[in-house]
Amino acid sequence: MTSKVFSVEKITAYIKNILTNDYLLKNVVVEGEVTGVSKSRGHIYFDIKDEKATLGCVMWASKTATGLKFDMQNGMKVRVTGSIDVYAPWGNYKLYANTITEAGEGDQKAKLEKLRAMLMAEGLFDAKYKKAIPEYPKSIGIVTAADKDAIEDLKNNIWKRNPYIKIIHYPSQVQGKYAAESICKGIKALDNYGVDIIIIGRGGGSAEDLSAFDNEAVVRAVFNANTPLITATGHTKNQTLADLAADYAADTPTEAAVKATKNIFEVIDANRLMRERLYSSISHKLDSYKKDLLTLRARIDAKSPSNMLKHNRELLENYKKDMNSIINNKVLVYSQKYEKLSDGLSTSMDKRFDNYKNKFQILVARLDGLSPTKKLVGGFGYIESEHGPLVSVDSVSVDDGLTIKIKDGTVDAVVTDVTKGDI
Amino acid sequence: MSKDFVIEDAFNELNEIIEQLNDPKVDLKTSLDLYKKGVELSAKCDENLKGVEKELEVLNAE
Repeated sequence: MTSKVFSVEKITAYIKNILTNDYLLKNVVVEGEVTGVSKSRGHIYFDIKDEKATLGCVMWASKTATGLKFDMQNGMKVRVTGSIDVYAPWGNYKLYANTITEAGEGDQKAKLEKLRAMLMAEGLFDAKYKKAIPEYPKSIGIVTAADKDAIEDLKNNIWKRNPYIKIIHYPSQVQGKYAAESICKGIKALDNYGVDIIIIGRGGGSAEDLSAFDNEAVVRAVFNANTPLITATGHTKNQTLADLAADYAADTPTEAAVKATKNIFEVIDANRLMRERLYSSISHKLDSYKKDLLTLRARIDAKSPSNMLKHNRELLENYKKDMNSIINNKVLVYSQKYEKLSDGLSTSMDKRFDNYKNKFQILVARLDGLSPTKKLVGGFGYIESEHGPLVSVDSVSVDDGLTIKIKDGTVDAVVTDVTKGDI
Repeated sequence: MSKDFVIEDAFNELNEIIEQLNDPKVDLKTSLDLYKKGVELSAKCDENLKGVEKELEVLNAE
């Protein structure tokens, strides 16, 4: 019996056909340790192996951007997802990788997600359970690494804002096998101590392993603490479960310190201002009362008998003054008038007098001219009886006495005869 | 110092006292009582805010 003879090419094509059409091999996940990594023009060639076998792998450059998210090194345990194919010229088969992940990573992630979902369902991350962070704590407990750098930053930032806060440090392990247990103990110790706020910080080192903060026991301890608790693990991108369960998750230790303390100097200042406002309010009030009192006293004083008397006396004085002034004025006015009148009178009287005097003198002169004595010259005389001038013979009788006045004297005579008729 | 003393409450009370003092309807006796109370409260705030400076205690981790 002769077997059918194949060419190498044919038989290789046959094998290739079987392998590439196998459903399982089209999309397979293989786990193994990386070895013989080499890169050429962006393509990555490597083998994965375990104790008993080795499998050649390749990841084309076109897949690396999305399929490989870590720096793959020899010795790493990886999971390669891809398809098996035959490379005819070399007569070998390889696993053509679409994605490469670190072995166990997916497990861990899935576990973490499961824990997150469970704790969330239990309500550990609920906002309603979050305690308010007191603004004026007297003491702050800090769980952080034992090394000086870790505590120093928090301590300085707290005391810068409020030096009157007592800090209680619980030095704990934050990385490694015993970190979770150590952190739990720290939370409990500070909770029992009776601090006002607990801050959980990380170590002072570089990009550290935060797995302790995703530990279920730690997350539960954070949630169950009676004291308001702040986490300061310092990873904003990937919040740990402890961050989610904390009453407040700070991005940095500095932010944790700010959140835990009010600037006490501002508060003391605010209190001083408050005292000043108190003082100014009461002063204002007292001033207003004082003013009212003064007004009232003035009104009462105005109505007092002595003031009334004084007031009346003043009124009287004023009346007196007024009256005096009126009278004086009147007197002045009248006296001025009188003077004026009397001046006028005397002037007119004088004038009149002078006038009469002149007239009189003229008359006197004329009279003098007419005087009988002036006529008693040349034997003429002036005869008077006892009845007056003798102008008729009828007015005398015999024996009547007569007085004859002539120029240089008087002659008394007696009538001896009376004859009527022309002389 | 009373553990129950809450500074926020004290500040709120101080604000209320000042408001009442500024009310012209509040009589003198009440005002003087309010003022006394306010000054005492403010002193209590200061006393409560200040304390021992920079005290650090390290707990034994064991």
